[in-house]
Amino acid sequence: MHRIQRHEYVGQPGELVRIATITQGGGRVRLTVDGQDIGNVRSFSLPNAPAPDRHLRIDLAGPLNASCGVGISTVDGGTDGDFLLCQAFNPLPSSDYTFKVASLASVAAFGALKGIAPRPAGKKVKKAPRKSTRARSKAKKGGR
Amino acid sequence: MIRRILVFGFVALLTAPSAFAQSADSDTAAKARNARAESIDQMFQLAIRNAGQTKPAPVKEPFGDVVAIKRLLAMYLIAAQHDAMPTSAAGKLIDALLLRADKQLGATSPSTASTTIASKGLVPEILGVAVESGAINRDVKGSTFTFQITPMGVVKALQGKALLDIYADYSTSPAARFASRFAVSASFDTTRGTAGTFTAEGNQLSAWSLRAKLVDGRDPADYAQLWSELQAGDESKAFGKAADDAVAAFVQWTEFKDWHAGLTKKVEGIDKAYSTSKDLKKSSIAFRVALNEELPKLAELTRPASVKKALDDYVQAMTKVQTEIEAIYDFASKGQLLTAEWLTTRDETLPDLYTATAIYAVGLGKARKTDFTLNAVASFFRSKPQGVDHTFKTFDVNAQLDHPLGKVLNAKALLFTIAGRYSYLPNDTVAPGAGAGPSTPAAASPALKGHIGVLQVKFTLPVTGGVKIPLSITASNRTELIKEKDIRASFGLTFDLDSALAIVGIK
Repeated sequence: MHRIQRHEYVGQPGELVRIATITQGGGRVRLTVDGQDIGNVRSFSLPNAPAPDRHLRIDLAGPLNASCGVGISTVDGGTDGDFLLCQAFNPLPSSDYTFKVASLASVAAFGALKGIAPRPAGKKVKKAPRKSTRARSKAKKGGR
Repeated sequence: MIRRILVFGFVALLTAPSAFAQSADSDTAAKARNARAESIDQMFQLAIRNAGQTKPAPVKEPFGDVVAIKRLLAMYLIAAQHDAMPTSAAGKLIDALLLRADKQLGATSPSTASTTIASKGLVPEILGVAVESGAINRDVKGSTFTFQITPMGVVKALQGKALLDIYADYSTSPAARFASRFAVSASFDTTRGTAGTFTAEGNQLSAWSLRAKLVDGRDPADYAQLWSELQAGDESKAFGKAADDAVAAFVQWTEFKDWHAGLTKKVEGIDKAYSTSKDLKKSSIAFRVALNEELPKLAELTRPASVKKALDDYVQAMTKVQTEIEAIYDFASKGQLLTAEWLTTRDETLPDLYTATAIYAVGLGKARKTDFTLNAVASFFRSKPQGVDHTFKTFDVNAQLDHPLGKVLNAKALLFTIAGRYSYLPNDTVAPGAGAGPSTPAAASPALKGHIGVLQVKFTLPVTGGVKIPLSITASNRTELIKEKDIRASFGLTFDLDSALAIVGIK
């Protein structure tokens, strides 16, 4: 997924969007995707084909100075941060995010423009097989 | 056994001239404030918090993210309406928001209690500096100065001296929240020593105390369920819609779009500089300058009818939400509270009197409309007073229950109170004179040992203008603690029968 501009992203069909929220000061956060409350779930998938945009809204409620740190991933290889704060003139702050879906090739090309190599959606990176504990300690001792 | 007949009396109290004056002072303080400046302060505060975030991820454009929030820009316009027309709906909303913020943050309006008492010496000078820096609060009642140390006041004073990070918000830190449970105060009686001059010498120290909250059920942050219900409620949804409509109206407003593009470009430069330098002080100063320069231009733009309507609807929706938020705060304020206090009272003629007090207060019932307070007090002298064999003075237990009874005909809600007090004096002892000073006799009349019980039932009828009319019946086995007799002897009462009958709806 890549960042187009503030709170606007483009990702591949079926790509998983993860949202991290850290509340402080008694803040209560509510996440809605396309108008539906997703409760305690902190991820959702983009549509499997180029489709209408998906919209995420994060609402915060709480006493003065209650806050919520937000992280949207994976954006440009990392996490995009946001912050909500209950203030006197903004007692119920809210942030809206738009997620566009484009073809694999389009997203890859956009990423290339930004100098970022895209990770294919849903494809796991193959890790080297993990050595057993015994094998690891044997290697440490020089194979004796 | 009850040895005295029940005491019955009408007393008219002007009670809360102090409470009314205090609320009037707070109201005046809110209305007199520059709401646009407050709005800019809040945007500035948000930018600082944005810049300070590290988890779950840093905010890439801490300053740009603030000016992108059109709700904040809408509130600036509403704040401008407040400053231009304080009695408008926007003005009343802003006043309510600022008052709530002041209460929540424990801010007090600047003390209007002036004093003509001169001060002399190093300690008063240090105390004066501490008061000015906000490290301690000062209260003046007659000839007595009381200073109270507040933890957040100390933090702010240290931030002001750059001894703490000026951009950090310590109010939510665990250490600050723990420290806020304690309060230390000291009182100085300026009639002692060099009369009429505050010197803070030992003989002027008339009392000091340490108070600690042991159980605090009044933090609104602990009422997660209520905040969730607010969020899911109709008023919150209507508020969200009104906010979206206001944003949509701004997007269609050509003059605003041009102005906003200019502000955004200016702030982009600040974000860019900050991303490389990480000099928060320099960037935040530049940000405040940009806001101070550009936001007044927003207030000068000609607003289309659609924007005016959207802002009016936004004010209306936020007013309803604010009412619900107030209800949560009011409910939280009735949570259980257990405090312990150690008070040392210094009298010129008697040994120091130590008083240990435990106070429990809670709102009873589902809506917490019934107030219950219980306190236990034990007092003992530091050493044996002259002519007395023991240091232990008294043990008191007080309990009070207040319950609103609802309106009587057209009158305001009648308040029912039942209060009881039990005092145990194990020994004959001396009582320090009230407001003890040089004129107090060396040995005051002793209080005789024994058990004292007092029971009072009271109905209080609030009248307009802060006046309350209490009607009480008090019974006691001893008269030391009955106050009505003294007041009945020294007050007269003028009664306007027409007004009284009008209050209860009788023509």
